[in-house]
Amino acid sequence: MTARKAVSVRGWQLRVGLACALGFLYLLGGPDNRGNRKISGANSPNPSSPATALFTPAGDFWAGAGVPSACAFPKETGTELNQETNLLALEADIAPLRSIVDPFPSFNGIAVDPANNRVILSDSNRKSLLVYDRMSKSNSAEPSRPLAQVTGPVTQIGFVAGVTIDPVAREMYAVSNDIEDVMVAFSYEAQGNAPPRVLAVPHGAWGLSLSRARNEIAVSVEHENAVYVYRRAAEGYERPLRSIHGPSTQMADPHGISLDATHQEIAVANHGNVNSRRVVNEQSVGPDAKLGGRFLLPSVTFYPATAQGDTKPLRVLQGDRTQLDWPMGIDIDAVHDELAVANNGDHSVLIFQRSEGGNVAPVRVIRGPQTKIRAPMAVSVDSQNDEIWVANFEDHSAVVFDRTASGNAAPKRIIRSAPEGAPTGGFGNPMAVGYDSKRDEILVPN
Amino acid sequence: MIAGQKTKLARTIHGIAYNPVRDEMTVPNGFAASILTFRGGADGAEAPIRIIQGPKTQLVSPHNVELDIKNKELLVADVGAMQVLVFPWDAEGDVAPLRVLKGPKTQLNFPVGPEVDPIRNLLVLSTYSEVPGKGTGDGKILIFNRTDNGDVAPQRIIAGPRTGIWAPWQVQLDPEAGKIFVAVENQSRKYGRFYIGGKPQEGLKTIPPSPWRSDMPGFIGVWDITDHGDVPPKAIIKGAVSQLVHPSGLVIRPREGEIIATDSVRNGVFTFFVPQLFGPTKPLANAKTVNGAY
Repeated sequence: MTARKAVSVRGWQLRVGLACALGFLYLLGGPDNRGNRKISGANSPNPSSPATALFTPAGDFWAGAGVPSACAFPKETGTELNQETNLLALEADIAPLRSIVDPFPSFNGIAVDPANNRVILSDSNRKSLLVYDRMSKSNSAEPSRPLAQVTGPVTQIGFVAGVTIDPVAREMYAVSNDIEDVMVAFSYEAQGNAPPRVLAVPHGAWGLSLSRARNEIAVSVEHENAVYVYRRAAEGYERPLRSIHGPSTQMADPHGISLDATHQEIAVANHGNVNSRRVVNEQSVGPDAKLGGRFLLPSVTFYPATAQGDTKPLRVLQGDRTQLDWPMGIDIDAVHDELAVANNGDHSVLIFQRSEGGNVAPVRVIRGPQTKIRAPMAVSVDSQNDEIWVANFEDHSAVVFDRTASGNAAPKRIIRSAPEGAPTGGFGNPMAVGYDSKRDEILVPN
Repeated sequence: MIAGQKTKLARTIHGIAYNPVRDEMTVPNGFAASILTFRGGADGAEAPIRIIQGPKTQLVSPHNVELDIKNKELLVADVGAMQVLVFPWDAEGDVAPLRVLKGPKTQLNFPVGPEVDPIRNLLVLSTYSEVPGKGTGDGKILIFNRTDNGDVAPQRIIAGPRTGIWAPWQVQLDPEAGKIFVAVENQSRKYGRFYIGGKPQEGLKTIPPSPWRSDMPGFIGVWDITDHGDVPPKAIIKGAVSQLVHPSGLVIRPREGEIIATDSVRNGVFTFFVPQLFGPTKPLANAKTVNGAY
């Protein structure tokens, strides 16, 4: 059948009916008639399945945009046939023929609280915060059972990224990288669709780090190549205490951030992308303005904790010996004077001497198939229990090692948000799609 | 999967175009004001084969890309400077664009998804406004002559309450049938950005409960290429069963009768089998008003 042939209404209804049937088969994990990779439990997690029963279905995110309960035949609206186009005015609520959707949480940020034996993870796929017992581990056939999942429209958890915690106040914080433009704070006791304390932040926030000693929380803002520092319990439209931004900072597409109150420093992980958008938008297009984009090497830049404005970094970790490759979350272990980096690009965790800069090698690298590290997004060092935690984006898991683990070490424990081996779509806010006609492949950038 | 530092990709990418003639994929990196082209079979930590970047390119924050296969051109929607830039499809390095569509007459604000109709020699794209204090809106489909350059007004505009368009995203064309397909995401940002110039906007008091326009779910809409003004779509895919909440990416396969859409809230990819939306249909012998069954 070609698209150019006329299609009778009856034939159309039969085809759509077939599409509905196939759609339902797909939803139930049935055969895929086009040979496409499918995700088990796509779209409508089976509430009776132990694997999916733990999690709130995606449909709860929006009131009114519920999980579909039936496949409806197309319904026509009260509009006449368009005599010029010969095309029916049609409003069709039809099921997709095929769907690629991951029903399980994918981890992004991580923060461990040894005092309260909790670990908090942000989930950018199903849009939630998950709280686990620090000693949780997974029976491979089943995901780990969280103590709580905070999710729903009231929470304002959307395209969530970094998380941090205040063990004394027993609060957890998360920030969104798109649309919501807020940082949200919840009590440790929060569950479900809980109301947060909300702070407005600039668009494109990613990393979060809290210092109880300084009573401050630092936010990295990717789109502005900036860091904003707020009062720890700031809310509403409360202004930042200070911000770090400008060409001298050498920030370039910042992501992970760590506020080190012991050494009075802020560390920022940068991906190396630079554009002149802020220059153009603020019309500071003077003779010194650098127009045009640039690629810099990835880096970690360090600033005084009280830095403000266009501040040069104290030191810059950068160069081929560092092995930095899309450095995402970072964490400073002030007790052991080390810096841990979730090295997303090569599936590793890098440990550096905190005080070093320049083109230096890490003192330890955790990397290899036995580590179960897959596209790590964040790290959290637990110096009390001498452990290091890693949040994986590609594997529905968080893995825990001895703090001094190195090489191809197996994790001590694994927290899973899905049964072992469950595939992940790897999507994060997909805003575009292409089609490769040569390979019959769908191309999805994230 | 293509990923890693060597690829020069950013963690956020909002556009992609495949070139079937050259077997290449092209994506924008808005954070580095660059356009990256990879070989079609690229995988892993593979570097791009060409990069467009530098001050002569006039790229500020490229957002979306598309290819004009017939005329061998690359189109770039750049939200950083509210412009559409056109390059030769094999452009490389710090090169000036062939044409730049920019200026108040163009009505470009947040341009997304430029597409070329090579039969009628038209350029079609979507745009919407991000208005401080008011959020997104004022969505439009703009239709230009393909070779328009500078500050020129569009030939036609599809916009208005009957269109259902609040915030449109990716556009696709079926030139043989003269159809425009639009992913109308609509959902996001009821309110404007809170921060402008490094600080909260003046006068803001209470943070709204949610930025999402849950009263305005997204849809895929189909218009004629000749449509102009406040014209409702000829067809819509919309509703809870469709799974669509915030459809943004869009690609069509007319011969197969398929529409493929991404939904960034559902965080997934959905393929719809809707052959009746492609090509003109024959007049129905016993056509009745659509209120009744056939």
